[in-house]
Amino acid sequence: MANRKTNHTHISVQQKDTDPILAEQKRLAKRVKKLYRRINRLKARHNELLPINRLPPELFTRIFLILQSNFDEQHGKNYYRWVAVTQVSKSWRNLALGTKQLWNAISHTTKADQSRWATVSYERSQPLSVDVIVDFDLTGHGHHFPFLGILSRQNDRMRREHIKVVGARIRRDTLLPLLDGLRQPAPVLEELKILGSDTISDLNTAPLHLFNSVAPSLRSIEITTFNLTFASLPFQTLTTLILRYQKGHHGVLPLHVLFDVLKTNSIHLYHLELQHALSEDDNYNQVANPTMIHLPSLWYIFLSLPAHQCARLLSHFVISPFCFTRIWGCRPTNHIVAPLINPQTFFDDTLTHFFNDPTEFIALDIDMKQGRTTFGLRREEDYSAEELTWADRVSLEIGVLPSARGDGDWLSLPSIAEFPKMWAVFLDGSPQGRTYPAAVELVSVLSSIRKICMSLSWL
Amino acid sequence: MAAPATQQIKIRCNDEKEFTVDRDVLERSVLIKNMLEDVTEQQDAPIPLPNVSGPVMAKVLEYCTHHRGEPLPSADTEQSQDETRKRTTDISEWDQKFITVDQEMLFEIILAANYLDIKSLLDVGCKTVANMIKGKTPEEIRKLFNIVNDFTPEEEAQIKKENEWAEDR
Repeated sequence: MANRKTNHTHISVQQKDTDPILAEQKRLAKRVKKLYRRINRLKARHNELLPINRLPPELFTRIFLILQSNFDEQHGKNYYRWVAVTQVSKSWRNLALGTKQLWNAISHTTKADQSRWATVSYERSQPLSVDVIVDFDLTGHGHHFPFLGILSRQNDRMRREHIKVVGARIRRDTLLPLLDGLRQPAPVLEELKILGSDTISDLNTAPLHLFNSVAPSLRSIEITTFNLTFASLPFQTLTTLILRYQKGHHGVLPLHVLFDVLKTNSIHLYHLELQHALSEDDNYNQVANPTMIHLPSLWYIFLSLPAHQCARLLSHFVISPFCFTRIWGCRPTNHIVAPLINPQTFFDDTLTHFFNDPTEFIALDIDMKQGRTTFGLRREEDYSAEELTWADRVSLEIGVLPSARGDGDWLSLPSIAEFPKMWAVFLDGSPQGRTYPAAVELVSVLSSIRKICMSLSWL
Repeated sequence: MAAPATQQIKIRCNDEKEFTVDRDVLERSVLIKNMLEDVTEQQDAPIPLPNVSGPVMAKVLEYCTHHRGEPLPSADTEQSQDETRKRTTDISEWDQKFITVDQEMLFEIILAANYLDIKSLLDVGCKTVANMIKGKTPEEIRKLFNIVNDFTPEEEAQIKKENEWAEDR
């Protein structure tokens, strides 16, 4: 029985081989394939002779990089349009696929699952470091994003990591891979930027040792409304530290950690921005040796913190008089009344304490909105052209402002007069407040004033 | 010692066309600048430029004359210039008008700028090509440069599959 079956199969194969029609079809298919190959060779030769293909590979690479970087800027809708160059011809494709720099800027959105593409990009860009831009709006999407998993496994090559995760009702488990990534060493990471949203519930289970404290090249940390509490930030060469949260946030950075960061990075740090980022329990007593911290490179400092925290920090800083300083000392309700909210003290004690020569400042920025008092100092070059135009226009309209009530004695005018070079004053407050009389008095005291700028809500 | 800026230099192109040009104009080309610095005595013989034709050289000289006196990029600024080049495809109005030529001439200018080592002109040329490609589909790019599709149907199907997620991006 078994033998008969075998013989039958043998006969059938023999028939197939000897069938003249089948054989002819096979021969034709072979010939078509051969002709296709020949046609494609001729097409490739045609392409070689074109004017554009006279350009050497390095110039093509240059053009492709210009193209890719241009789309890089407007990532989102057109981000991957540049990949069209990989589909034009064989030679263009080989060149593009062989140019690793084209593949090391990876952008992801929630529009589609790009995890396969991410894997391809990571492979093609090897061994270069990679820049990743993630723009996830999770509203109306599922909770499973394989790309976040891929991202967390690529820390060894990550150079820049810009992550935006916003949306309603984001679940913690969705972001777990991302948090895992923030816990792994990142040996070549230079820049970390995370933008979250208030809707993300508290992610913390334990304070985070960012990148397991291994990120020797990390220069810049910028985190906005993404709830992470830092156990430490033991990096040596930070130039930028930006932590922004909404008013009322309980803060992510304990004060003693901030002092450590400032001490270890004091030489390099040039941008410090803390908005409601310090823990309310400011554990000042835990700060070991809270001596003066010299920050010679600092050119921008913006503190939007409860006033007592501002005062406490500033009392330990030694900053260049050329540093653009913006301090919003918010008055927390039912909290400590800090020295900062008394303008007299601010000028006499605090400012003169930090800045050797306060007369360097030519503008005073005052915000007198209900519940907070703001003081900031600017230099002329810090104004944008738009602001100057605005200042010009508003200053012309001061005379037609409705008369405002107020005693106007909130500011010690002799203190203001210590700024003889000051030429612009920005006043922000309601018409019923005390800003207007203050402005009038300022004009009468300061002959150097050329511009007074008020909030447009006045007009 | 550097020669005075008004010194006239002769160059000869690959089609025997000769130009006599102010030295400072020619020194926009790093290649020629280095050649002139290597020559200690004044020479009357024209500098041979075997890779550039007369008509192309005329265009290159038009560019160099317009930009004469502008600072040349130093080795230190190369890096940052490369960064800038990567970020923008903006071209100044004059340069844009200058580079509005047929494709053949455009690529010849790019090749000449590369050979003569005139970074700013090379930059203008490459940005122009990038602008031509920008936003186009593969088929539109082929049509623009008269390129024929030399992928096999199998290869094309594979590429299409690879990029299908990006179609509506």
